[in-house]
Amino acid sequence: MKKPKPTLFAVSFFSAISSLSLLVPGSVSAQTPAAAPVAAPIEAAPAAAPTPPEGAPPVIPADAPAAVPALAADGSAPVAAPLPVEERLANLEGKAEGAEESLAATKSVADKLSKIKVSGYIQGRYEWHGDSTNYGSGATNQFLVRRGRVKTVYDGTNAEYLLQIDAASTGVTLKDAEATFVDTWTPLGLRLTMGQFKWPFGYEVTQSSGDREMPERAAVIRAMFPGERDRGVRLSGKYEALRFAFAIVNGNGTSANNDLNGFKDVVGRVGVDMGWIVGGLSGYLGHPLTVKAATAFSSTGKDTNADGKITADEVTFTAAAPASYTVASRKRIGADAQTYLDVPGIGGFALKGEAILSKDTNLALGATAADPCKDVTSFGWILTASQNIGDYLGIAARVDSYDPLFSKSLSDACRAKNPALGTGDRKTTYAGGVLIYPSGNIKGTLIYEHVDEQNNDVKNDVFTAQLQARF
Amino acid sequence: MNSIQKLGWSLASALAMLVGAASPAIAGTVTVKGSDTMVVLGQRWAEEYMKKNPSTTMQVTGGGSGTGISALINGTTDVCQSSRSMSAAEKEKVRDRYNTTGVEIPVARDGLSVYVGAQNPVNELSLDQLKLVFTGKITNWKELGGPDAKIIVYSRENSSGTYVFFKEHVLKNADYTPRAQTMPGTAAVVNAVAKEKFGIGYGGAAYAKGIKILKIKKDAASPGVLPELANVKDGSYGLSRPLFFYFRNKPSGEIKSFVDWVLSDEGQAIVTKVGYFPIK
Repeated sequence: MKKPKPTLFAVSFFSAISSLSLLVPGSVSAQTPAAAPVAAPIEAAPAAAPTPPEGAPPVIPADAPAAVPALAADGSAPVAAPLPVEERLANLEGKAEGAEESLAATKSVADKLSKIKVSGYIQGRYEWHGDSTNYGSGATNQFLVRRGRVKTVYDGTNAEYLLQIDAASTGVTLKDAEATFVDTWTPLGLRLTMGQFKWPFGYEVTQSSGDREMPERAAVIRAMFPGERDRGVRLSGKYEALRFAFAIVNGNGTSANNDLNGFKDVVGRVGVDMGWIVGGLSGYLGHPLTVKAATAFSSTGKDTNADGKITADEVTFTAAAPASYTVASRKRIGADAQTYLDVPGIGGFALKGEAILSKDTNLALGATAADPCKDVTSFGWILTASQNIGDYLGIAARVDSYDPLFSKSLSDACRAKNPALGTGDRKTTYAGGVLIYPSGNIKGTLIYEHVDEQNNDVKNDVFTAQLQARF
Repeated sequence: MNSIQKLGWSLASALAMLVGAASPAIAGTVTVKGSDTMVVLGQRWAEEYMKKNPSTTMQVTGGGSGTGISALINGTTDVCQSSRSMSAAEKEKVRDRYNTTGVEIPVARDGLSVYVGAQNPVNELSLDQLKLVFTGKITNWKELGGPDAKIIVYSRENSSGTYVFFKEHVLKNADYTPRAQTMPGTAAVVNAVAKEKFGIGYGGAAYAKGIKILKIKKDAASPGVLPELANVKDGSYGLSRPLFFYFRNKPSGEIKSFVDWVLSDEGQAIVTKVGYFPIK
């Protein structure tokens, strides 16, 4: 069979489409009788205006739009005089230039929008706690939204805007709000940031919770850097493998709206990043002011013998206490190192270690003299190992230890005064489990943690099953 | 069943479900994704390699170097083709997710070419002049020794490695002019420049058909140099660049065989056939 010529074929095709439109429900005029056959000839369809008899002047409806062209004297349809080619070309060029300007304006807006990057992740979690003392309070096992992060970054030429919000079971909180001036002139790539940001100290403080192998940070980090963030100004940069970041901060974390004392804390890290091996030293100098709020006199009754009555001997009285203030000089040093190895045929292996030593030296405040027995030396360390098995599976283990008061750091006189001070308070946590990555944006985490108290081990193991989705 | 046993069963069930979901979508298929500059080269390599290894199935797609690198990080491609180096931030993402630093293998060289219309009398431009043109500071060919005609600038999408390379090495990280028309691929740039007498665009040397390639001067005093083998090899061409394969881990098995073949004389001969320059 001979194929139709393309032009004829196209005409036939569009004719067919036009005819088909009569078959489409709703495309038939409302005046078409409902019983009319759908394949009725086109002539049968009612026209918008009756066709005038041959030779009679055409009838123009009264409600015809004003744009209807006037008829020629002989009644024939008017024919517009063609514009000169140059004029038509000039018109087209004008239109093209207008379109180009419009496109440039649109593109300029689109370019700015393309510099805004929105990302985030949600961690839905199930937690099982072995701590039986919590039974009845609803904390033994529970589902929760641990983190619901949305981060918006505008990456301009010399400016960066970063805002991160966390919407979780506990409420909505501001995590990061950074206004950054970005240096594009020196090889150091300096970044000057003001706002709220993570303390530039060590590895685990700054590591994203979306990337961390374990559900939570180690005990030493949670104790020394609660919330991981503070408000202040930070300068960071890099040169070749060298990395550095320093910050001056309030020293109060994100819980307080105002700095409680006139001192500002200084924190920073200097390190190297060679790709497969990374390490650094960190330091922190500060003057924390600890405020213990005043308490009023109170009495509490408890039916200890369960006889349904509270007798005088079952009432506890608490004396009123004035507010107390403690000022200390805080010094912290930390060292961290991470190494990454590609194990042939299995996958990447990472070993990460970190140790932090902290000393708060009690200072005189007003008429109160410094008390060396209130000095606090703390020490903690973290060791994490993880092995990818192919692209979709991984196993991870972490051991971390935290001693909030290193008793040997106290003088003999202090220890003699209070022999129990700082003893038996060290906790060591052993954690391990499986990481699953079904796709690039989903991460499943199954981790079991055993907490080993130094002297008085309690049943407070934790199992966490978590599903993280990120975009 | 006590609570510990229940917990154990729950754990095992959840693990089995997630591991099942984690199985690769298409076993035995090597996926290659990334640079549009390299997509034709990748396709030629894949075609020839599959002829020699009929049991291997390869899928080659473009989308841009940025898209390929994202796919590598997300685990949706085995091989990423890129016409630019991975950034430090991208390398950190690979490290955070896979515990490796990634593997970079240069597989060919390209002389990033600047195209103008075949009838355009301008034959050479310096890197500084190119910067002024592509940032919109120069808008008329007469400022470059050409006719009194407006310069029509064609560029690429920001997911393109060529876009990033050109921005870093020619524009010195300045922004492209908003008047630059964004094209989805190098072939589209070539096509647009071929039709637009006073257009200018850039892309891989292998795509240059029906247009004129400009000689590039490193500075105003240097001689103009064309992106030819000798000039690309000895570094006298100012916009010479390596083309890369990236992997999450050191290649093994089927992927290693493919990479070894790409770097062999046979694989590198295809580089020349396509219009790029061998890496060795």
